[in-house]
Amino acid sequence: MEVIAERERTAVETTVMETFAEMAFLDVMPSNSKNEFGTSQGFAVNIAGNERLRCYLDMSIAAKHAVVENIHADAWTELSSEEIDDCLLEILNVLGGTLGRALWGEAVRCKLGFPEVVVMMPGRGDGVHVFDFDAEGEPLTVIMERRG
Amino acid sequence: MRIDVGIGEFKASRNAGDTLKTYGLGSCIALIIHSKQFGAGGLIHVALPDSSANPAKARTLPCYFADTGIPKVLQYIDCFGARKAFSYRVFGGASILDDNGHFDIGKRNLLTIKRMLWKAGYGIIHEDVGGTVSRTVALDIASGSVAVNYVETNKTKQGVQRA
Repeated sequence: MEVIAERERTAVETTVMETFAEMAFLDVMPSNSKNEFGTSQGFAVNIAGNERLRCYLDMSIAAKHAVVENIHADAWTELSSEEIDDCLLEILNVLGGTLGRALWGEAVRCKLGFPEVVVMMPGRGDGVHVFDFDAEGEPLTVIMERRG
Repeated sequence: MRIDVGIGEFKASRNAGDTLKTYGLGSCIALIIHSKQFGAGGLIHVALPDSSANPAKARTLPCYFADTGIPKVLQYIDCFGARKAFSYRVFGGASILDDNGHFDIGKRNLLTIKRMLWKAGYGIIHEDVGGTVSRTVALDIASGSVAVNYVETNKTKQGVQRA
């Protein structure tokens, strides 16, 4: 399996922690546990810069609730499914852009695809890099896949 | 008159001659509110983010925790019927890991306070947080200025911020 450089790991972890703190007031920390989400739907975005990456984001339902309710400052039940999806896709969008800058620097033009909802997430051991986090007691995982 | 605010306390004043002061903010956070319009100010010294860790303490000292203390501050502001007339500033939140090394208490305190204010419809206009310094802060009710005293391992520096 491809080994990820320490600098890249730090870039991903810092980006995730800062993005969720700034946007959703959520304390997200790297975790040693291997998060499992069952059949939950995740989100993905393509990032192109010095290389092409696909970034996946998955989290528990409770973590989604926390993110969405914190950003909207409203209860989950008061929000439409479009508002909920937009919110989660937007945070992935910001995550993708910030990650590109953290990995390749300000000078590299980073091109983002449209963030999308995905049902099939890549598994561990599929040549991907998995970053597990703890979002105030709830599991949150970012998966990075290198593409050609 | 100087009014000292201890850990887990919220104090407020409308006397122009008063200064609200709290000492040794490590991972604790001081949320300072002030309104020039009403000549009023307040300071809460929060130690922990979540009262579920100790509900008994939350009942006797609600301002010890962010989730039970911030509503007390908003309740006070509501007495004036004009939340927008107040500014919100935070100090402290130094980076200190909990006993298990699991989370940064200062960061968690700050995020909880920001989240609660945001959900109530308010934003922080100034923050002086994080790092590894201990802060002592004093709010001058008349001007709204906040004096911050920093203590690091071997040195002391001082600065004054104004509303």
